[in-house]
Amino acid sequence: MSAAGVAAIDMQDCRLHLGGIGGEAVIFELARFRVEAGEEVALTGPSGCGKSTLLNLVAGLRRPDAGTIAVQGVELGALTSSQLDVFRGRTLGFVFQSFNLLDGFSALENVLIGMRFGRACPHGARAARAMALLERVGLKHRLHARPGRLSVGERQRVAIARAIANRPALLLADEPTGSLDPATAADVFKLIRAVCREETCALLLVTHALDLAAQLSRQVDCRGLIRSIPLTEEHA
Amino acid sequence: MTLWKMAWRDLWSRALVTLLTLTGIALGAALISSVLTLRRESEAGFLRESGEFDLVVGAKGSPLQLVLSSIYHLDLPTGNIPYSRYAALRDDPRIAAAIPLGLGDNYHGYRIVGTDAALFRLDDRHDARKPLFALHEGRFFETNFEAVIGAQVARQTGLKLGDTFVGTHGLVVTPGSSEHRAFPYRVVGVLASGGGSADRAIYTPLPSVWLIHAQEAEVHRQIAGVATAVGASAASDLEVTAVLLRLKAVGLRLWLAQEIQKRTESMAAIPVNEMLRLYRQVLGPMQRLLLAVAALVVVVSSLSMTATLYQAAERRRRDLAVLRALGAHPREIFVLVVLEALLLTLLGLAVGWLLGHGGLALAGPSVRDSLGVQLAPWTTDRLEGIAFGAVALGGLLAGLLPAALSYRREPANDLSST
Repeated sequence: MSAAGVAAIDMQDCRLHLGGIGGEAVIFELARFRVEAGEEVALTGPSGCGKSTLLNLVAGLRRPDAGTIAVQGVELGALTSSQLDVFRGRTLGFVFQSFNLLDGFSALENVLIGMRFGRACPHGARAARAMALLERVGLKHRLHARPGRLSVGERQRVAIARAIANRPALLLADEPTGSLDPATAADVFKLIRAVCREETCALLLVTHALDLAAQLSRQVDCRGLIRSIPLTEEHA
Repeated sequence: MTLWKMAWRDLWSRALVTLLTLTGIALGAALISSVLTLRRESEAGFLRESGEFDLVVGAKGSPLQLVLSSIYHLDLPTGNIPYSRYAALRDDPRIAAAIPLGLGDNYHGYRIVGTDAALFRLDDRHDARKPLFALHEGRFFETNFEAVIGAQVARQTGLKLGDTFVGTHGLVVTPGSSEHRAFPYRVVGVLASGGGSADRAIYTPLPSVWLIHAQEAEVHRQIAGVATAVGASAASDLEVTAVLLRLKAVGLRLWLAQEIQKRTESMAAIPVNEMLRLYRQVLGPMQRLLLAVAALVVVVSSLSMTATLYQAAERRRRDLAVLRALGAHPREIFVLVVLEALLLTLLGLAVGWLLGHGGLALAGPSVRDSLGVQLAPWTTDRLEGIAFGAVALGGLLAGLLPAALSYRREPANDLSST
């Protein structure tokens, strides 16, 4: 099946029991959510409304109790855990708010490790692409620095380079500017958009910053999308 | 980046934790190595010398006492037997070597053993290329009152080539014992240290012992006439304490022992049998206790190492989740975790082996002097291999467990969310 005409994300009737968010169990419910190929979508809403959970579901880092999630036309529920891990590496890029870089490896190695497991780039071409990407995100001079020696903004740039290194069809970004100062946040936001366009991948970005969200082609308020129902005794 | 390189780099990136884990494994392995080696070497050392002779012939009494006094230079002799008995054994065509021993004196607690120079011509039964006795310096004795001293005797008493000393009556140091001042021995040779009873003995020609005890008064009067006097003595007057025998066929051992027992006033003991009996009755339980301690050490070391590796792997849950998020196949994660656990375990075991065996090599001389056991510190036996294998397996499982558990959780649970 060609990627053209296939939605980057298609979620239907998803339901998930979440234990103990803020000490209280809730039911996450979502009727329908779709992101088209190449589309840039901002997901906004208050903390705890389920934005990150939605991203984790799309990435296959969490599985729903009910409903279907298709990414690039592939039904995630039909994949085994290991198939899902491999699919994720080849199809998705994920920029976490807390970066989730590997502390023991340099910026360059973090990108290379992402490419190794993503397997989208031929082995011989990986180093050149990783260096080009790090140069693209402004870290040419920090190739061999470990995360502990990088500034917060630099770490996020490494995470962005790693996320797009495998030329994913979909980039998920979970509050990528949440821990950055306004100037750096604007810079990183621009960078994410730019690389998504260069790599022609769809973007689903979770953010609290409405001004940044407004710059994307579509904004979705999770309060109108997701129902987070406290699991009361009645529900139980 | 290869998984090997990733595993290695990851260990390096957590250098302190790696070092602490490595130290824990190494100390456990060192303990295993040293306990098992000590157990093996003490057992081998204990039984080794008993195999050098097929029979020991002496006065009737306790066979074990006879063996301990004549081969190990421990315990008191059972008495003396006529020299003629020795002569008969020496001339027996079934006997390859008959070595007479005459005991009676000591020097600073070390026994002066009157014997025949033929003793020094025997080969080592455990290694036929080597002689049973090797000289560190000097030569073997040739004439009366020349002495060849054991390595421990030389170390502890300070005697060296050319020195003279006098023996004291009796086999142990007793206050007030008379010294044979008129019969000084001269050191002509020092034996190489073998870790056995020879280290604790002083060898001299048998006639020297006879001279001191049988003709002391006469020699006092006319020292120059001694050789003549002894030579002139009737063979029937002379005695030996024991005779060590090597037979032409080991199969004759039991038969000959029974023959000696029945037909003469002497007793023949089979050293190996006596020592095995002593070993099983007295030292066997001690050895089993040591083995139990060794087993306990293996178990405790394995558990401790497993706990350390498990904790180290637990701290990596986030990293494993990141790798899964990046698309790592479960097989790759398992290989990575196994490689790290194996690297740590094998490195720890190698360092531990070196520490354990190196420590024994350093402690070798004092163990030899205090326990009379010559350690072969760098040899490894099957039991040690099994113990190390068990530890390595424990390490492997300890590394695999967190990886297996991580696959029972969703990656989102292990990823940093803030």
